[in-house]
Amino acid sequence: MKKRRSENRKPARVLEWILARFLREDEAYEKLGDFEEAYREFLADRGPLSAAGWYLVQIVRAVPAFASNFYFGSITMFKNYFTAAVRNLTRKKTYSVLNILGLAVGIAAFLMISIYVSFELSYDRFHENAERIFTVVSGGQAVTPVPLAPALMQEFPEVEVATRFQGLGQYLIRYKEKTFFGDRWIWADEHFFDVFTFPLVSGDEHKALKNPNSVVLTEATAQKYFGSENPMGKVIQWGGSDGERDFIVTGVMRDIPDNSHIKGDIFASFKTQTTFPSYDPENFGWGNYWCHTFFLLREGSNPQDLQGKYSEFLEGQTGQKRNWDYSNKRLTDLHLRSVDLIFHASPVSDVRYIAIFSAIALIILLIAGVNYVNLTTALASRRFQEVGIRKVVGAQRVQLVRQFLGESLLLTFLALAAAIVLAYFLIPVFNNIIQSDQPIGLFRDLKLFAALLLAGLILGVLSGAYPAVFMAGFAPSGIIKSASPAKSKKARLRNLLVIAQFAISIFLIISTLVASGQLHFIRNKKLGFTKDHILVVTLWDTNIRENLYAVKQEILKNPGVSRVSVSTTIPMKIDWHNSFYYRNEEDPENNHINSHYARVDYDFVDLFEMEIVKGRNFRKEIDEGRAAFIINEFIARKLGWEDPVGRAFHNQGRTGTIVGVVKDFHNENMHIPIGEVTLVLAPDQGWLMSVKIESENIPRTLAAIEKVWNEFSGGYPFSYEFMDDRYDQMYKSEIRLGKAFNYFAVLAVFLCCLGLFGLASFRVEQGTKEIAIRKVMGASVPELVRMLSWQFIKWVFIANLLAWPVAYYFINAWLQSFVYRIGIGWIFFLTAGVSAAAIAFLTVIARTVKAALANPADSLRYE
Amino acid sequence: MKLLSRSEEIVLITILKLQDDAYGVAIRKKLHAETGTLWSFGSIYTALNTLTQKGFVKKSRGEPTAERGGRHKCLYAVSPGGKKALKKIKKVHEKVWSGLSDIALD
Repeated sequence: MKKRRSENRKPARVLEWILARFLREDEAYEKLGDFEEAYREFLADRGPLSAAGWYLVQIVRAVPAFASNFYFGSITMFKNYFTAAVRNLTRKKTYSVLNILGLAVGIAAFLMISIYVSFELSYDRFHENAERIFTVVSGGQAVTPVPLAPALMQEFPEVEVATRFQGLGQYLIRYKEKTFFGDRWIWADEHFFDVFTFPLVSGDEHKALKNPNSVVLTEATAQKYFGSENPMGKVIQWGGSDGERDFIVTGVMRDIPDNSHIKGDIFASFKTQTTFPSYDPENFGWGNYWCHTFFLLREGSNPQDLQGKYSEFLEGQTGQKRNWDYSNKRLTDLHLRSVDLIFHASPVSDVRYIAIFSAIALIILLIAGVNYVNLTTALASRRFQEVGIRKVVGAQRVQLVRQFLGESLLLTFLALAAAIVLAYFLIPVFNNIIQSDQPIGLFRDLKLFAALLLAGLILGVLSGAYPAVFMAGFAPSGIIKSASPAKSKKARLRNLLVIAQFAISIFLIISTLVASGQLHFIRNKKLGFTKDHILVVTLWDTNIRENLYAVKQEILKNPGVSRVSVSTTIPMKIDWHNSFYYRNEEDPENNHINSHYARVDYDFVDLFEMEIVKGRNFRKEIDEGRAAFIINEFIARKLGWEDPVGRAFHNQGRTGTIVGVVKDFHNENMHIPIGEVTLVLAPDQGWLMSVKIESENIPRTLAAIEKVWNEFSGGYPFSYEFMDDRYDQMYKSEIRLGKAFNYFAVLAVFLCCLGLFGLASFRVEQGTKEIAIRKVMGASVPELVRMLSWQFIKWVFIANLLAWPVAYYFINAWLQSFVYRIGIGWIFFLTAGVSAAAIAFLTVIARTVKAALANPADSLRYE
Repeated sequence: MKLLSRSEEIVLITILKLQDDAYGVAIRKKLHAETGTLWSFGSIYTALNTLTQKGFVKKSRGEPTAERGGRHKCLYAVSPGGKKALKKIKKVHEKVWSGLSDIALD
């Protein structure tokens, strides 16, 4: 009993232990004694509970002193490591520069790509109910009929609210004496702001677009039109297809963020269109697809269930029984996961390209990290003695790890700083590579920036961790003797890493070569029409469209212009389709063919230098006023018509004859096979004017055309595009990918060479005596160079063998997406392999030759 | 030479009075008895630390006791320098206080 009591008179073990942690090591002993004695007295006087309480209070009181001790203590520690690290870095300048440069380039590339990727991924997430907003798509189109939105709201309780909008146009806007052109005009109905989160700065979100002739402007647009005046209630004149009209500003909305799929500057009430003189209820019915429908799904409803009811619903609405291919798509999927749809409200990206970019970013970072690990472990052998002595003197393993980690952190910080500077200067180049609609800024998203810095830090720790642990693990006895322990094993890992690096580089080179080969093929393939020296002018202006004939004549008067044609589209983009009917004696039921079509005038075929293989081109003298068609060979073949000329064709209630057959040409991009194409004669219905010009004196010709334009136009400024630019535009994502591969392949090779150079220098340095002795014994310089270089070149060969099958697999998959493509020849693989080997050889030889040429006497005296 | 601070002065005098048994707990008790307030260990250690650093006290190891959980005591003794400093501060006090009658404080 007594013994137990005396046991109990000690303070609790845990408390004592905790307090001991808080006291300085050299003082803990004395103080713990004092505290225990005082505790016992307290215990005798006041009982165990208050004694324990008192002891606890002592612990709490010790905390501030502990904290300040710890802080100053670690500062001193850090200072020590810092000094050691700086000394180490400056002692080996070449390697430090190689290390920092490599890491900096890698991190900079990673940083820029990450910013871009996160921007693309952030699309449309800013809407409050982004997860519940859906759009309806129909048969591969992002557009739907006009009555859909209100009908959805009425018929389905699952739909909370639905809206529709439409807008492809740019119109002339007048305010007092000022005119403006180029702002994107959107027709949107009154529920627009209920579905989307575009907050209004002034005006009522529910009423702003309710009445005809009302518009909501973005802040930037309002500022542009009215300056400092209050925009609310101001009247602007709109010059559209139905002449001038007045619109009242009923609201000002905050500017639309960059990462919004829906882009626009002016939102006008949808209803206004029904008040136009040209209003045709047919156009606003179920048969016409031209407006985007979005809806807000009620919470807890399933979009899939809703989709299942569409067919029945549409049958009920239209009375037509057919395959209604309507489905829902999430707003947040629209930007990245809907490349297969046409008629988007704004250009979309492809999530696959985003994935490729992310992969490249990681690969580059990986290569940089590998370089770092390789160089540091290789260099570690030079520090065996330092480590050994530190250990003998009493350094613990943990302390050594901490020291080396400190060094790697210092290096990473330097690299991070350099990376930010690099990225700052390279971001315009990067924007050029990705060809984004919106150039991204480096400091666009500071949160992301901070996260990336943290990631860079983690990379520093990780890539520093391996060498740190590796070096701290040496046994001191072995180290002091200066033999490098476990050398072969570590060297093998290094070799593997270098091989992996080169394999990746070779993969990127092959991809680059094939991608640029395919792009070259696309650009130079015979298309069946010409695209050079052709201006394409969009005729926004009604005055011009009404005086088409006169405008054409005036433009043709210019000696630099050889032909003018007006059509609804241009040859490479004939992607609208419609049904054409013909007489089929054998099978009267099966009497129509779905064909792409373009409405063209008499000059279309000649201007684009298309070849008529049977029959003739449209001719004014004969065809004026009647329906005439030209079909392509594909249709003729498909219908099995030997001689189609003279046969009857019906389209949209018009009956006409086929006057000719045009040779097949690429009516869409190379991903899509040539299909049915019909040219419909409609000389006055086009809104794209193509002008074929001479290659000399283009500026003068342009000026002359502009002059004619200004004579006729109602104030719209003259704007044009070159057709070949437009052609390239179709392959934007492919061109972008090709460019990206180009740059990043170069970067990867550069980083690999950096690493290789470092390793080669190290090998040479390590073998200084070996080389000298060999030389003394009679080895020749070429022999020595071969000996020193071969091991590195060998890796590149092995890397080739690894890279080829992988590259073949991916490249083949990419090429499969083109209907018209190049074959994958051996030449791509050989070129990539040989050039990688050559680059590696050049890198290594710079070091090895110098070493082989050195005077052996100098080297042998070296120690 | 800088003057001692008030708490340093008091701790120093206490050590002098305690003679051979001046260690943490004893100092604290004596201080309690003489000043009427219970000093925290922290304030005593702070004073002791600065005094040690200035060389006014010397540390030595005493015998272990059971109350301390078998640990040694850490004994403090005033060094000659400490005594000099005490003499000096005493003189300063006397000089400063001289000529001031108790009535003036009321």
